[in-house]
Amino acid sequence: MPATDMTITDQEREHPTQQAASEVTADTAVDTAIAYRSPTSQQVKHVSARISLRAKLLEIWHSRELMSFLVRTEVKVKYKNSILGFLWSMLNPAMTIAVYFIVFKIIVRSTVPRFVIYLFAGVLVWNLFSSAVTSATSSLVSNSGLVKKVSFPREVLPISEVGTACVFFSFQAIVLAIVLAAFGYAPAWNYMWLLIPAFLALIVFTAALAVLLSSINVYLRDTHHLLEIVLIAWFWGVPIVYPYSSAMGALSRHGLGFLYLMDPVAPVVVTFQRAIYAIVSYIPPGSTTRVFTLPTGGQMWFLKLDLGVLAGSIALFLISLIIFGRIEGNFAEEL
Amino acid sequence: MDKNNSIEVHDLSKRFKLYHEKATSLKEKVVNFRRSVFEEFWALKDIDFYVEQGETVGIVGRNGSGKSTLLKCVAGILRPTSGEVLLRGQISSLLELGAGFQPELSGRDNVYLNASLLGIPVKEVTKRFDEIVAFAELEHFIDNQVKFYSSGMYVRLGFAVAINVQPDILIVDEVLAVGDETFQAKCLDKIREMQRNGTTILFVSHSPDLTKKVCSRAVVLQEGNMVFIGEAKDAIDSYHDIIIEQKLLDAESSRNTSGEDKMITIESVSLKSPTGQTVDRIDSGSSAEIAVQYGAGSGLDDCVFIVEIQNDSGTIVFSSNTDSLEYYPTIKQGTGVINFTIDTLPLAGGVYMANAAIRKRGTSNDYDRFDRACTFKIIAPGNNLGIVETPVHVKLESLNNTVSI
Repeated sequence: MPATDMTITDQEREHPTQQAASEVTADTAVDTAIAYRSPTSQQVKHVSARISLRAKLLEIWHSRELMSFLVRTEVKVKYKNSILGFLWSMLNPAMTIAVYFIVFKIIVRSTVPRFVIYLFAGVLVWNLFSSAVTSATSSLVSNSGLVKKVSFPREVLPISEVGTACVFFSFQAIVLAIVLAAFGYAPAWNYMWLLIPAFLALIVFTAALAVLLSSINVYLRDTHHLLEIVLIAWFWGVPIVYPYSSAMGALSRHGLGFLYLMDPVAPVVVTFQRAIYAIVSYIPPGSTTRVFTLPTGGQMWFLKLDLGVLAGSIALFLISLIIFGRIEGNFAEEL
Repeated sequence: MDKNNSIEVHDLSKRFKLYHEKATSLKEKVVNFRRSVFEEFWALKDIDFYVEQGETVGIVGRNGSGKSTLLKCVAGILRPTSGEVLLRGQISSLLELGAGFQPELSGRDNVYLNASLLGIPVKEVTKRFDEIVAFAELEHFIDNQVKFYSSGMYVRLGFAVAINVQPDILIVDEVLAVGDETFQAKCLDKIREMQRNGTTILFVSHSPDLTKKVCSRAVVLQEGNMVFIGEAKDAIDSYHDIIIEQKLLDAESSRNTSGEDKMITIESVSLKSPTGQTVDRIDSGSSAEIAVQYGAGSGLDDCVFIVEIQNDSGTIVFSSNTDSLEYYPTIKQGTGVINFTIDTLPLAGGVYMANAAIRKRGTSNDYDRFDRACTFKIIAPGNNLGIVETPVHVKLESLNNTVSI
């Protein structure tokens, strides 16, 4: 029996020598075996019907490297074999903005000044959210080969889709910065720091939905299709194309204004617009009444809003993980 | 968890739901609500065993006995329905080679991706990268996209990653059946090296010989139950008993000659001991008799009776026929028995099956053929592997006087 010809004391195990690890020959087999076993790799792994939330969070934390590889793979593969490559990730929002600009500025004659910047700030946030949630929802199903054959924390798949969306988000953000600089439009510098809590709130909320929907989609493939429809309506529920005050005003008259900001995406969008677009109100030509494009609150108002979303999103993320953990045991069979 | 153990499996059970028609859309779920048509199926029932650090334990069983489910539960791919598995250290599994490969990426990127799926830190992979590539014999192709790899290259790379990352526990499922013979031998060498290095291995193979060669102990599964655990040799023995039991049942039901109009048919084939009793096990090296019972519809004088013995991997290890024995029987209408008496049957221990055929002399047409008509077990005293069991003597002869030191 192989076990009998080697005796590893705990002391030896805890002090592996780097030198021994570098050569592998039959003669040094016993030494190298000791060297490979670093103390951290000796932790005990449990596989049972239930997994605790703490264990799950730890697993995800330990899979950071894996997630970064999955993100890199996704980014590399997405536009592989296409001539324009990464340009496609810019062309998509460019087209969206062009279409809305033509429809609302030229056809409907919206009076919002610097309309492109207003649109861009909203679309930037929305694209991150919608593309991440859409691709994450089908991530487990489209990677069924992996889920069925390889053991790794499955939450990593939807979460790394959020990471991939963040990469494309940053490309688009650079374009936005270039556009701002080119036109000489100044953002509201004193509101810029709010982008950090807003962005955090957005990715936690997106990740929460990604984890939840990806697991449900394994059992109910309708989820993916349903989501596409819901996203269309959701887009119009957020002030991206029209000014904040037009929807808020209508809802407030019925005392429902609070509902508008209950949508976790809306506070993030208005924060981005407040910092990047920065025109809170304007007087349309030929009119004397002021139109409010953005909420009039100060920095603290926005901060409270974003931290509220962040807190709610963290709770939702934990609930999503619990639900995911409950049903992931059968993923390999269901796929 | 005992500190000498690498793997502990406690009362592990796994239930599958077998859906007659799986509802995956909302409409179907609603329509079939409370009428979900499934049967419960226990793929594993109360499995309980442990593997000591550095030990190699095999899992044997017929198809559908739960081997793969057990491996998947241990590997953490499936969650057990009840019970738990405890594992100590870094785990690597050879369940499906190259399962995580992304065809659009280069071999190099895939090595990193695959290793990180197994939970190996990047710096560890970088350290072993050249070793992995050399093992896979892909030095010239490592920067090519994996989609251009041949299936052999694909599997070699998958194997090289999984095995060269120095896991504490290795889970192996049937993968030694891939690649050409040279690569298989290389893989086996690597597994032996890992055994020497103290890697714990859980091993599934369909080859009883390989299991005996590689494993110190083995678990025998039958329909999800653990029916035996112990020395690999005894486990294989117990596994062979299961096969014989099953084969005897199969043979009775599988032969269906009704509706065929044959001039002569083989009714049964049986193994008899020297005393004339029908048996299903005999000692290696003893004499045996194979009795072929036939039923003839008319008189025939051009019949050649053939008997064959095949081992469990399908190799014919013995074949004889009446023509080569210069025996030319004249068959009368009715039933009769032809007896082949074999003076010594020096076969290695294991499960064998006898085939019989009646051929028309001078042609390659069979009047009738009955394959795997009879299953029996050879009991061998020695521990030798291979096909033939024969007494062996060994002695040491010193050649010091002829060698100048």
